[in-house]
Amino acid sequence: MELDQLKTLWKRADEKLPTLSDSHIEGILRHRSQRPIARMKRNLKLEIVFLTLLYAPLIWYFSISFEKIYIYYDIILIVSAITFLIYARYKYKLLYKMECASCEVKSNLSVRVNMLEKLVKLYFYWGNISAVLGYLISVVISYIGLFTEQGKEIRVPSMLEITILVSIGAVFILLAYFVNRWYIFKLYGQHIQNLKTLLLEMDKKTDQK
Amino acid sequence: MIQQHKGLIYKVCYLYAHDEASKQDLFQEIVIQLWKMFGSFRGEAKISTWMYRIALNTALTDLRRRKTKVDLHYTDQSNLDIEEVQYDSQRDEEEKLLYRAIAKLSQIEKAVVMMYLEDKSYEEMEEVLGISQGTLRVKMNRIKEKLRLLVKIESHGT
Repeated sequence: MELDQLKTLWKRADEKLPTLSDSHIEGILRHRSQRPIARMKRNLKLEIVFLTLLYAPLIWYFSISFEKIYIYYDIILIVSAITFLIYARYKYKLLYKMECASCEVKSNLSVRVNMLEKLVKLYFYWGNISAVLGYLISVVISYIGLFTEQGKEIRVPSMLEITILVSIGAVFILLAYFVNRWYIFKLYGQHIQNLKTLLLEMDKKTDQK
Repeated sequence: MIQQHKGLIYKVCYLYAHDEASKQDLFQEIVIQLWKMFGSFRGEAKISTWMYRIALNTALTDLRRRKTKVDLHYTDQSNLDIEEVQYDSQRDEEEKLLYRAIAKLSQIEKAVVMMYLEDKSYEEMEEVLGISQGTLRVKMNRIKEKLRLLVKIESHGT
């Protein structure tokens, strides 16, 4: 079969295309996009709403509380909320820049790879920072809580206590580091590699055999 | 606009999606993207060029291995179905053979060959893909050879 014949065959396929009515198109447009970026944007918005609903009442409750100690909880919550908002803003900016559906395919792929790599770095740093912050916050809250419950004055922890807490923290953070790295690679590693392969193929004039 | 160029969308779906559910997903995504992006179309390029970009970008950048699953909202709504083209004659068998041969090309080669088969100029291919015309010409010669060979192999195989 010659290539001109292929062209004829290809064009003949147009005659047999399924019918597509306006109501079909309207039906499709009623659905939300399921592309990864669209889903990530929606998830980010949900995370912000969820954290606002969780943090706002807690911050309000601790701020009106007569117990002086609760002011520390408030500070911890406010610091972590601000950190999350910085992370969310940066992530949203990356997701926004990642979409250029009407750009040339090559430049879109290149932007996508670039932004995905930045996003992966962001996830990686955020994951590690969250692990450290999470551990510190839980240690501080448990430590303060322990003394408050027993009605004792809070004292500076002993050297032994500090050593134990630091050792547990080091193991936890190290574990979180490796789990984080493995999970991010599992989510994005292969996809980024595939996009890079496409990009490389676009530049190559010859086949790789 | 979608009605007028539906062939383009269907063909991208046939080339880049491997099963019926993926074809429907991809078709839906392309239509949604076209709808969302239409406001930003300023007529600097031909409408077909713009549509090719959106369709190929959607197909290529979101290509991820899908888990096989039954998605009920498609079976519930027959109006979203993309029916398989019916092959009922010898000539149709040849068409099937062509699709099988193209399916064996790489993702980028599929995009180039699709535009070639649609009689698009190298200039338009460059506008869509962002690959220089020189590189496209070299690629095209290779792809033609490869496609000829693949069609031969496929026809012997059937």
